[in-house]
Amino acid sequence: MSFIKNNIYPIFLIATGIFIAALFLAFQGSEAILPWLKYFLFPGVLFVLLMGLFYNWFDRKMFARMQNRIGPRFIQPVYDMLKLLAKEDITPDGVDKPEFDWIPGIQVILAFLVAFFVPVYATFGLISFEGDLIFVMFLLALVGGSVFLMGWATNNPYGLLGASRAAVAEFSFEIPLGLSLAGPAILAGSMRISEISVSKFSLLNLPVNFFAGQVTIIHLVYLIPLIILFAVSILAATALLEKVPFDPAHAEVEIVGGWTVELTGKKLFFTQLANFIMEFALAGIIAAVFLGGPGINDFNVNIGNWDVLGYLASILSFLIKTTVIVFLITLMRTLHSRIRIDQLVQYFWKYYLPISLIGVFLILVFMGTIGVV
Amino acid sequence: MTEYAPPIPETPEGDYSISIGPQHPTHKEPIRFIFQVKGETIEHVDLRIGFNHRGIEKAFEQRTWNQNLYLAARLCGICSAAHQFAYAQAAERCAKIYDEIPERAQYIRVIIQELERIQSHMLWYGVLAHDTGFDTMFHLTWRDREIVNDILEIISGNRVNYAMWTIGGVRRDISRDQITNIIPKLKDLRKKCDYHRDVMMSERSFIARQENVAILSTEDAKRFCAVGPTARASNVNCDVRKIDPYCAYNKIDFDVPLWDQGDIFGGLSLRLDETLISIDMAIQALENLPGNPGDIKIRVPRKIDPNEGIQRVEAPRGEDIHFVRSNGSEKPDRHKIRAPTFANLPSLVHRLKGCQVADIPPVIRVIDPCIGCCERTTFVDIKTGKSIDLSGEHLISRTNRAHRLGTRVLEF
Amino acid sequence: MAKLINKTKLVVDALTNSPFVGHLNCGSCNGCDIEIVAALTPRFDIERFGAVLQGTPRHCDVLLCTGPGTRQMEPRIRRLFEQMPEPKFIVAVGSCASTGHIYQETYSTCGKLDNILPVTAYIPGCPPRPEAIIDGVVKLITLARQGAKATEEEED
Ligand code: SF4
Repeated sequence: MSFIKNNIYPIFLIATGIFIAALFLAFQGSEAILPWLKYFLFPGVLFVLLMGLFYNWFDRKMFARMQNRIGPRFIQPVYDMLKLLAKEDITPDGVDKPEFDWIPGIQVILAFLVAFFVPVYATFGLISFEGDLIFVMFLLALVGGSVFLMGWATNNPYGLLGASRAAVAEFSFEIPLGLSLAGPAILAGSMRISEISVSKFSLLNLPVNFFAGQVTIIHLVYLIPLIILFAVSILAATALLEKVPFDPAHAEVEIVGGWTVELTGKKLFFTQLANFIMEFALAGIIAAVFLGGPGINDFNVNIGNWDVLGYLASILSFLIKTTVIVFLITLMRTLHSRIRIDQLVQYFWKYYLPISLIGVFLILVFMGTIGVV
Repeated sequence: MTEYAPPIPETPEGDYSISIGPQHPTHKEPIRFIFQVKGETIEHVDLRIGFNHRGIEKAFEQRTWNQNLYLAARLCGICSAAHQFAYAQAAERCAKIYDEIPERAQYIRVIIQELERIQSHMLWYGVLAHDTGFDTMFHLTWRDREIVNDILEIISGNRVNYAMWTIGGVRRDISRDQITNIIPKLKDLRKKCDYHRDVMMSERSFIARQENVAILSTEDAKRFCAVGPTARASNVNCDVRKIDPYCAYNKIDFDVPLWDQGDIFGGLSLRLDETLISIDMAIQALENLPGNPGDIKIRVPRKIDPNEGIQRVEAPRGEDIHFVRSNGSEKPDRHKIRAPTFANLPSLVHRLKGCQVADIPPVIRVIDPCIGCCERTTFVDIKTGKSIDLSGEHLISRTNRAHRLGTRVLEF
Repeated sequence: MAKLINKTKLVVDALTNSPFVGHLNCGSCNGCDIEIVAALTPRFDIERFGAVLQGTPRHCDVLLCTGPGTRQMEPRIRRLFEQMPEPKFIVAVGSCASTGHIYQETYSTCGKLDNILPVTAYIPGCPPRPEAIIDGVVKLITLARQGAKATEEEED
């Protein structure tokens, strides 16, 4: 009994998973119900929510373990979120009313939208169309804009400072992020996330394909620009998620949380949830673009409708890949100290932007000389 | 309830003003800075102190000489031993028994002083790492700081307020067993401090925040009467342990590190060096502990004849001065404290000008502010009966005038 | 504990399992403050219980107050308390905050924290050890739960 009590959350998770799987099996052929299941259960709202919370816990736990601490419990993010929902919601005098009320909600919607593009178990995400990578970039820029507006609306000097810093940071990391995602897209010859993820020339698929004999040894040279771009994309993702070392907009000890300083209760809940989901979504997209998403090589192209094991394998591979990326982001924040906003701008414009340009340039040069088979 | 502090002045120099404190995550102590900011650069600084004024000097006059020892420890939790020490020595000078203190007691005093310096410096650089967002280093230093807290607990039975001094000696002896127990721990700690030093000196993003930020030149350090590590980081040799040795410091062999950059990084490397030197000193004093066990204090009469005593000691933050005057009764007639943070505040205000907003936490941290120590006075406007705050501008102009005319700083 | 009545069990669980703590120095000597910070660090680590130190009172549930409350801080302390969202708890850390300690009779303190804020839990000690601070927070949590349960039963 006590075992169940202590592990109620994992047990609940597994039970939910089994339940969802059963539902999927039951409605496999039904065209009317299956899309709804997909949007609301898996890989839709519920899955994204749980994964966001899980990666928040993972991030905090790893952070604590690397500092010799024990860290939070597994269920902690759930408690945090529920508590924030139960807290009083204060609207201070002098805030700009509609923005202050609405932006946290909008952020959650944006984060969910981005997460829907992530391919989780098949090559396609929930939403997928030609050129969706550009649309995702656009959504990420909107998140940055919402942060700026939020800080502006708080009417608090710390909020204002945080907002202006967030805007400056946004201008800095957006271009390297876009360029670094563009590199694999050029290689794959498509701006569609699902097609990039099944490309033979992604960071992970390239060596696998080499051993499978599908590409020659010369093609391995693509690994150099891909590794560079992968590193830049991780750095830019760290900046987008406002984590140390690129978090001057949020700096807890300098400007007391920056743009979140006046948020309480539900609004804080929404912004935090948006951040958690964003972490999952970004990790998922980077995994899809660089590491081949759920698939191992082009294995999952061949999965049939009833191939449960195949689905499980691809979900597992997706989870492992995103976990590795989240871990890399955590590692960044463990090993470094916060840099100033002027240093952030300097780093991104002076180093990471040229580096990502060089990466894209190298890819173009190699494509011209070696070509893509 | 009305607020005593006058409203924030109109912003003539900056775009907008940021108020930091009295409650702010950067420094937990109640002090208030008002920054006039242009873009991200600080144009003007206003300093409000007095939030932590608890009336300790008055309380000193209401308690007996011995009770006051415990009051002196509670001036500040981080450098409690230094304050208690300065008070006890001032009282000893007042009672004219300063030269009769047993040698063993003097050595134990040195040991406790140095252990306190170690824990204070480790606390300081841990919190500096936290201020610059380097949480891992903060946790690692504080994990290792527990070792020195353990040692202090072995010796005195408490982690923070040790209550080791008494007028005429120390209250607890250090036994053979304890020494054999402590020395390996200190050696272990020395290794760990070396490791901290390596990490902090090689982490690029950490150093980038500190180099050439908030420079205090040697002239400025002298002009603003900076003390302690703040002054030593600007190449002013002002270690009281060396220039005016007290208790057993002239029998112990140690160096005073100096640094000539005067920026935050200078303060950091200086304190890292000092931590190592203090560990060596503590080991040295423990190994050479003279005298017979138990011979640690002399009797002092409850009443002290009319006299005056003044003592300065090197607290972890700098020179700490206590003055006592007795009138023949059981209680002191007057007790005056000049804490090191108070002496460093003018230089801090000077350094903050021209900094970035992001640099505020580490720059405030660099003087190791301990507001609990320095809040001794509230200025009262006699006409209205209200307290008034002393702004940073006043403080600087008064310091300058005092420097010029040789008068006291706090003269209206 | 009246703040937790009329809440379902799940909400009480959530509220008591994730106390975001704030830290307010009401004129203390720093002794208590460093012990509070020490409670965050690897040897003690209060994040095990979900407690995270927050900078702004807007995000806090529990305010750890140290020191007797000086006269000049008094309006600030009140204002900070008002900025916290409900349900909120005040914990007096250290003898100073609980009883006034050695500052009882001085002219510039309010005596003890009780005179300014409604305190829920007292942690005595000068300074209390980090273990004691953690124990205090945990006791506050259990008290809150029991209080919520008791009121629930009364209503039934
Ligand atoms: S209880 Fe003791 S340690 Fe805590 S603030 Fe008061 S005097 Fe300082």
